[in-house]
Amino acid sequence: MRANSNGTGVVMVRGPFAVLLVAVLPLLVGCEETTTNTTDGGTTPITDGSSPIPPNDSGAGGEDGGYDCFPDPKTHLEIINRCSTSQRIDKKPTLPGLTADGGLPAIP
Amino acid sequence: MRMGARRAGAVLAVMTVLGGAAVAPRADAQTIPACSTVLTNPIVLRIGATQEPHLKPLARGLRMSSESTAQAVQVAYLTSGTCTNVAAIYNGENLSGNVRYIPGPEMPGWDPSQPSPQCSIPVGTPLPLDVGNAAAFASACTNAPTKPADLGEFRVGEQAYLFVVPQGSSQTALTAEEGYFVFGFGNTGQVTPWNDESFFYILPSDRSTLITTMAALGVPLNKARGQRLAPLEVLNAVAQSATPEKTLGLAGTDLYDTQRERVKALAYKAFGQRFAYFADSTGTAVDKANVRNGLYGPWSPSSYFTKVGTDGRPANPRIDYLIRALSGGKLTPPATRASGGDFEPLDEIIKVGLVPDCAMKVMRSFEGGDLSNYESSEPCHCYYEAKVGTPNQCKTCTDDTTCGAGKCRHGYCEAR
Repeated sequence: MRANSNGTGVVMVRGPFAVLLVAVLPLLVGCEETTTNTTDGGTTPITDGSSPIPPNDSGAGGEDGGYDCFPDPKTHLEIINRCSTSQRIDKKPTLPGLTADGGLPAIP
Repeated sequence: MRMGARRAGAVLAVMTVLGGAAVAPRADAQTIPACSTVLTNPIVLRIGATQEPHLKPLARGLRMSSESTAQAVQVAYLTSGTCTNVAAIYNGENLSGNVRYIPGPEMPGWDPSQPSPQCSIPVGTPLPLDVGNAAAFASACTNAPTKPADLGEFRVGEQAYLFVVPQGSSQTALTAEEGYFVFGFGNTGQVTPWNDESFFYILPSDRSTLITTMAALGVPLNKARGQRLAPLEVLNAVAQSATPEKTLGLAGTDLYDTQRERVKALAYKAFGQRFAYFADSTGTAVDKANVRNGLYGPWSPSSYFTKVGTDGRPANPRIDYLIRALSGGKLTPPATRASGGDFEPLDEIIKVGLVPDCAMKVMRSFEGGDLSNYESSEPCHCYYEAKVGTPNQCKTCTDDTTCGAGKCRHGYCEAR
């Protein structure tokens, strides 16, 4: 999900990313909706261990400790979720300002 | 449509004021020499403040070289915001007044950690702006005039921008959604703990730091909430905040890497990303690993604009030499150090936290745009990683014969 650059709308999905986004976003939005942690206090730095997502997999299995990254990324969404040994932080804040469908409201 | 000269000048003047006044403060005229007395045929630049740490040691290295071609590259410059610089070079600005310059052997004790000395360009004999720097995508400067056809763009490397908090803050990460509410809605954004915009410290709208970070969040520049200060003022305000948990600011990595004991950079989680990542591989590393591989998103290219000839290279040979040095390219002839050995321009890029194009694995084509995989035609992954201390399996070499199908570059076998 992305806000557009002029802040007047919410979702901007382009071309081939749309299919992947449809698969991945329910997981991501769902995390925010179901998590009560609102600050970094609950974040857990993890310094290892990215489990690879098999080709053509949405990565939706990540929440249960299974696949959660792309070993050979091709698209933007795969690149920003690529496998890495970098330190990562799992943060799922509660955002009361989200719209009813979980989107971002226009900036006033 | 090209902006009229008078209107362009007025816009530039306003942008300069809003951008935190790049021109050095006027001091007693007796203490500031005329530029013509301290420089010969200077190259005049407008650069982003984020790029000054790169320009100073590099230009000093050229001036102090024992090689005459490098010595002849004498630099006078102003620092101002990206969009001010872009408008100035597109409009063919003539400069007068006080500027900074890089001294040569006449100041043997000067080193680039010190402020650059000033010299004065008389109002009656202004100097044309030779080079303009954008530390973000110039296309993000929506009010800029049309780029003249004879201007070329030369990319130096990638500059990362950070969300920073005081050392006393317990926060470690910012999600894009949080940032959207924080900077787009301020006090009404309902983001804990960043719910009071009097503790948000940002920069003027023409600054690359704001341009890049707000593009990542999808917040229009003119709607970004927070106190607008100059880069170092932002760092000071964040570091000295009496309410650290509520405080949030912005910084370029060039500045942050010299102030790490004062403020903390947050990991950032982009829209559609599962985890938040630091620009570096960890919160304490200095390797820009996640800028290179795309896991950290708020970065932009640093580019230099100057007039080019029919071959696409800078028309002025001295400017061509400077641009090659700024880009970390091969210098012909090499800039030999007075102390011996060749001056390595690529090192100057790496030292200040920029990632040279040759070490990038991803690229984007506009501000905040999607990433795609990237590989330079002359990669330098091994050399870069050796310089920043990243362990790798790279093989050292002196020529291509030991690199199999690869190429020997900067002393290491690269894939091509």
